[in-house]
Amino acid sequence: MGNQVSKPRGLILLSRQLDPALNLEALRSWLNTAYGVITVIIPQKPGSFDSHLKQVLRSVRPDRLVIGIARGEYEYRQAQKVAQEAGIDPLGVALVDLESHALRLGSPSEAFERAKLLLAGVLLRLLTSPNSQPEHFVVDVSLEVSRRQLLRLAVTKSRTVPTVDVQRCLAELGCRRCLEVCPVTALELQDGTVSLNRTQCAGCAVCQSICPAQAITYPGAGLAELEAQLRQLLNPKLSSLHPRGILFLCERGLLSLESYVASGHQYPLGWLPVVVPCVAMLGLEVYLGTLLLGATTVGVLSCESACPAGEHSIERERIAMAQMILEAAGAEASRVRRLTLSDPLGSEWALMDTQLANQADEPVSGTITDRRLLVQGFLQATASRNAYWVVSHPQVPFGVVTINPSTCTSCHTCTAVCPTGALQTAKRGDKVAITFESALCTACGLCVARCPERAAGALALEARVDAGWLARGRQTITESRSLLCANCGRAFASASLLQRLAILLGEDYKRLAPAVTQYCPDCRGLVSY
Amino acid sequence: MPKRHARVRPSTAHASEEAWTPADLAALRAMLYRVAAVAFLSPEPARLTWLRQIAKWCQQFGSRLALFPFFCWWSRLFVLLRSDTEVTLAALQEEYVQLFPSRCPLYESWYLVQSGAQRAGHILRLQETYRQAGLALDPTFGESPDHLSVELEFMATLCSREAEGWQGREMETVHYCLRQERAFLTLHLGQWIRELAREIRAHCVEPFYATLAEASAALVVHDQDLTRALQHAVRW
Repeated sequence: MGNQVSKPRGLILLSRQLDPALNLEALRSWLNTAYGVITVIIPQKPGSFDSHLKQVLRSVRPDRLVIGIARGEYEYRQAQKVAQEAGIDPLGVALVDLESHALRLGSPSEAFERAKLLLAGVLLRLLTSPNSQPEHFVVDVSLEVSRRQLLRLAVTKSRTVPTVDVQRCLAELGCRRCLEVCPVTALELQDGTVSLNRTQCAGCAVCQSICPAQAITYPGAGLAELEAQLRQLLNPKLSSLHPRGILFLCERGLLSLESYVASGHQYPLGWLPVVVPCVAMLGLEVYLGTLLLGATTVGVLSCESACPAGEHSIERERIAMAQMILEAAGAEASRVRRLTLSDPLGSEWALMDTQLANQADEPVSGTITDRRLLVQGFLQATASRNAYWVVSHPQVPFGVVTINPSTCTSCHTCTAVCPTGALQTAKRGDKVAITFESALCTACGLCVARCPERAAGALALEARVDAGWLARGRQTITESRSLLCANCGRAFASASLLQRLAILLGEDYKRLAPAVTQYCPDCRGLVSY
Repeated sequence: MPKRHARVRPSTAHASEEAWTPADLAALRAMLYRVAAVAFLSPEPARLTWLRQIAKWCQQFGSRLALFPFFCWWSRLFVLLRSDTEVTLAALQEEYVQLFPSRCPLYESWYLVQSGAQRAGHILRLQETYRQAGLALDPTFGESPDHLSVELEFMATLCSREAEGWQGREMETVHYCLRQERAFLTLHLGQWIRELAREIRAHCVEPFYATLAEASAALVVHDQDLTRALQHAVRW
């Protein structure tokens, strides 16, 4: 065993109940050819789904399981239970209602195209997702046990919550971003580290989306998993379906949508649903990245008043931010929009016909997870419309750092604390520079908070998306000559530090020189004797 | 303590139903802690036979146990135990010697205490915890009070008492046991079992001990939540 990590094996099960409206044999053959995944068609016998599922799981022993069913045929909780019994990760199971999201929306051939994409997307998301840990689940006891009546406990409910990796967490350096954004104040500071009150956590994953150090993990809902699913859903080579839009929604939103379809309504065929813990967790990377991966439109279906976290302000703010950036870059702001179930066949749900970026080939890997690729892709896609644009907003997850050379001492504390590598130290001969790359900056503010000369305004951070800064890539924002010790030859200070000392000490500085200006701290004592 | 194996067992009367009585649930937890306690002892024929029997016996609870999020880890362990080829006594003995004395010591103080002097104090405090519960380590057992099997067996004993409390409707006993269990998990097992599981996973060759450690850690994490939730759910 040791450190070996084997690639998870997937299994797709399809319910015979979907036949003949959906050509299951053709679907199985396609999935097998395209992904090499075992696909089994479960025979249609009333009440036998469980036993067939157990039988298949015993013989195949997969790590991840996707089940394509007709509406109401099988429950997610039951599937999860049977899968757990077979030793499958509790979060490695997905149920896709192909009746609601494929069959009822179009002709058999259109339904087939949708079914292909939906199954492939969910499968790849599960296969990309790392195994969950016991800490990712919280048990809820739903019944009260009284002294007189020892009721049977329905301790069957468990919720998924994120975990905080204290080794990566930057709370010690002053980062409080997750604490500030948590809608239910489930995150708290304990002994200098962030700790999660698991009982209080609503599982919205907003904290994960804002952590600059990627110290918070919500299983199955990371950027890599989302990108894996989106790349399948939007891959032009996999299906002729056009145009394609991505409809982000939470479990509650999904239930509302499925009930809506069950009551005889439809929603436009091109919208492909992607379930996330809460739509408030979707950041700018996801919205813009989804468009770059080939979606013509991105829709967000909010669960409205049913939301336990009540986080519509974050969700609205993030959508508005994406719209502002699209507009500033000369693209249509309505490519990203909030949707309601009032009239899915009306103009609100109408898909745009063209893509932001022409996507003829398979979408580029890393478009969402790699901020450099995201920025490059977005600038290329919008270059012909508006090459220079700026959007300033306190919540925007990009920043621009500037340095005041007269007060900066080139101590490089900022480069040492920068969690994303946006600020870096570069040595060039006898000079040391601080370089900055706006594409990597999340505007977390740690550089400003830790700057010893912040009172003198040595370093400034503005939360803004600036096409000019983004296009220039890594830039030198300050440079200072290194002073070498006259005794040992080691670099011991920057010229800017001494300049700053001279300003601060005034006349006293002359008394200290030349010992301070010529020798390193180690040699200073030696040469004085 | 670890010599006492099964006592209260969950009732099989409702094996097909989804709900648990609190007594059954406590008995089940006691059994799982006991399985883990025995499995972390040096492998012997009688112990392995008992573990295999329990793994087979638990099969009838499969669908009920699968209601708990920790069960996928235990399910993997039971699958291994039920297989005569995947887990053999000789392989377990070899792996046990390779892993535990040096690479992944099974002692709490190894993970939580820095110096030898502190270790002595730590062990004394553990003994005091056992004593307060009316228990003492069998002197013939030959292991330290901070050995993983002793701690797991202590939890098994508390859960058994809790089960008896529920059965006899002695709510003071139930409440006392829940408080003790929660405190012990928070202050002791919960502090180091994840690190131990990581160490075992990094060093093991056969899957058995890594699976066992993962299953034990999952139970400990789960029970920290469960005991808290039960404490709040019980109305006084």
